[in-house]
Amino acid sequence: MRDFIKINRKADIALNIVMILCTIACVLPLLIVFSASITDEKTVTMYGYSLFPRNLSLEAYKYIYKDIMVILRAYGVTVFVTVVGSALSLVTIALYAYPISRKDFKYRNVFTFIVFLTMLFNGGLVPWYMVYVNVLHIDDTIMALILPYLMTPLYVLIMRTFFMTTIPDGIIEAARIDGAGEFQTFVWIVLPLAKPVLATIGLFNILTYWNDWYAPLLFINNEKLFNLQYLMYRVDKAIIYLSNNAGSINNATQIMANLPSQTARMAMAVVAIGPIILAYPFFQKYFVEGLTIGSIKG
Amino acid sequence: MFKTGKLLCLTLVLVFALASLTGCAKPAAAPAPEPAEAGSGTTLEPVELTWFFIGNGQQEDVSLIEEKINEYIKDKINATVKLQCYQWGAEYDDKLRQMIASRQEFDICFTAAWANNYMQNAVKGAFVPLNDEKDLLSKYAPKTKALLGEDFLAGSQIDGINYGIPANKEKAHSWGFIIKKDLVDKYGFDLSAIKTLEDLEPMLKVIKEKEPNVYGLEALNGESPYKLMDWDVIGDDKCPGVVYNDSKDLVVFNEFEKPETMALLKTIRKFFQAGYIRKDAATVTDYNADEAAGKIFAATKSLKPGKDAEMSLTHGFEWVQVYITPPVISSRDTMGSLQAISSTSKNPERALMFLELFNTDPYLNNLINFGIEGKHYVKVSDSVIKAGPDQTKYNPGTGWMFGNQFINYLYESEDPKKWEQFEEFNQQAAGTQTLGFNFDPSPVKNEIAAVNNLWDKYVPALETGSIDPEVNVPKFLEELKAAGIDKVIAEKQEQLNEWAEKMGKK
Repeated sequence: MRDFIKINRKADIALNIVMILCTIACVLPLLIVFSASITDEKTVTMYGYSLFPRNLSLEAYKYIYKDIMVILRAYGVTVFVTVVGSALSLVTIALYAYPISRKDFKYRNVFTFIVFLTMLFNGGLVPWYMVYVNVLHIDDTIMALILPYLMTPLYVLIMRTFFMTTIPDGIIEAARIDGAGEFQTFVWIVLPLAKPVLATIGLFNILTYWNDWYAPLLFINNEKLFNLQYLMYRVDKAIIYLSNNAGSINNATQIMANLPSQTARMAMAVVAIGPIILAYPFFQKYFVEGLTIGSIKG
Repeated sequence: MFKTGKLLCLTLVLVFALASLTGCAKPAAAPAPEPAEAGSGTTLEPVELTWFFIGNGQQEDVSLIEEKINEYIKDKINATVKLQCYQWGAEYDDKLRQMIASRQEFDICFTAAWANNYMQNAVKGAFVPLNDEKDLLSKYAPKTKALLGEDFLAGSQIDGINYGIPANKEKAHSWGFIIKKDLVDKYGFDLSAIKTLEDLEPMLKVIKEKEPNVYGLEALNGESPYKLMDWDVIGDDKCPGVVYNDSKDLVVFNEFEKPETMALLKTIRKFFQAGYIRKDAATVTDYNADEAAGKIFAATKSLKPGKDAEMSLTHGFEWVQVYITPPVISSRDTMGSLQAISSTSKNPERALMFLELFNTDPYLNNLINFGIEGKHYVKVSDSVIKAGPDQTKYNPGTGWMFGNQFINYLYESEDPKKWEQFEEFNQQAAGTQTLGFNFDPSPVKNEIAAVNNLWDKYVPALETGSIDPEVNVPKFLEELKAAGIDKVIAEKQEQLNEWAEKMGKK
């Protein structure tokens, strides 16, 4: 390794320091959240957040354990929507992007334009809402959490560009000569070669679905279908709202007292981080692979 | 190929243009079907009413309550009710905004100046007018109408028409302090001496010296000591341009130009510098933690009779309240809590009949407010209750939203005379001179948006004392001028004059 990656020792140290600082900036807030979640509520109010918990207490986790069924259900919803949604979305996007990447497809410009146009102009919030509620009637169902993010124009274009630049026409032609149908070519030749872009878009999708709170905000009334992010989001918003309107809501104080305390919210955040943090190492493999493939082909 | 593309592009543009048009088009108010005979339950078709309101989300036992309600109202108005409670904040506002914009069908919704914007929706035609030529209000809710009184109803009128039924509760507000009682007793403070913010100073000094863990004065943006100015705000809260509550000549002015504003801000600044106010006050939103932990000596609050008792009940230690400003009925109070009937409702008259029953029938009202007797609450005497075994499963705790507080039960720990005190408080209160006037901000929309941004930049810091008013108020005024505040104030004045002329006030 040393032989071909040579870095000046001073630069090496400097780069390492920068990287260490970046890492600290990313990790520190997480640690503070974690530390607050295992601190006694009164201590947090008195002394604020600190990196090392002053008075250990598992009260916050006990509090959320009381609602364990609600949280587990929300977890279930989030995991289901993330897995199914990301997979469906990846399939939809790939199936759209592949044909418009093929030069022998006559109407590819038209179809590209249709996708591209929605990036520049969209129908706006109300028509968007009406399509799901008044046309498809999927409000208050799990589909309302999946469908809205199924097709992202930008990802279609990214994938199309990847197909066009990295997959040589020759391979597709060779497959055809060997007797493969269009579908076979796509599944056995194109997709395996496109792993890096599939992984990238897949990760984007997973993040979109995992972090989504907007679809439940608009479409879901049934509290059994709330996902994890939304469960946290509404508590936070409620607190801000109640304090901004304290003059109008004359028992805002009482109402706020019924909401989860600071530490309980931190504990919820810790619980919600869970599996998504594991997604990164898994995808990292493909990112590295994608980079190598790219560099070999030049 | 090129031609197809062009044609397609044109069609698409057309489609989108049409879509955006229909999206914004002002929905016409649904025509109300011919009303059936009121009161005679036998001729009524069975209907289902949906009711959206705000709170801590759906309560666990809400279906049991619905069952009881439906059982009770079936013979009376032959309707069933579906209760849907949304969470405070974006959940209620955003959901309702979409439902109203997409003309979704529902019957009743909670609305106010601060949630599910009453004015905007009423003007848009989202709500059924209650006392236009059809006069549904007198026909289907005569008792409610008498209960609220013409004056109070006038407060939420838009061009003389009511689009919602205000809750019958305290009708006025009075700004003052909530003070922690144990500290008052410990140091022997004389609360009757507090007439202004300045009068708090000696007490804050003692607290600062003797109680290192307690903040002397809570100053939040939104509920800061600055509210003691109690301006009669014309239009948006975050835009200067107010009149005095008792203003005879109805002159609109920029409140930040007034010496009394400067004096108050300077006092707050002095308190901040002396360490009576927490250093990060301008950015704190979750004030409940401090209050519940007993870390606050005094806080500015919008008061009503029994506010201290309500807060004591929540926190488990005692608060006392001190009124500073005289009770005043402003449009904020008259538009603080209303139930409106959606113009998409198929049965507006039945919805109104339900609201009438709900406002006047103690059983129904208390059922919705407190749940089922023996389950969610237990009766101590005829009108006094305490928490029942299942209270956690149904306890909305929003009596001010649900109709008529004067027929509500009281908790054991509350003052048995609470409703008499409410009555007295309401009678003492004087209406502001602009009660019933509603500012239409659309002609100066852009200026107001710019002013709102400036407000967010300066006012939270000023009203918590975080920055020096002597330096920053002139800066603020200068930037306001550049943002077009003069135009906004002139517009406010013009509309107010027009209204005053119409009402014979000028």
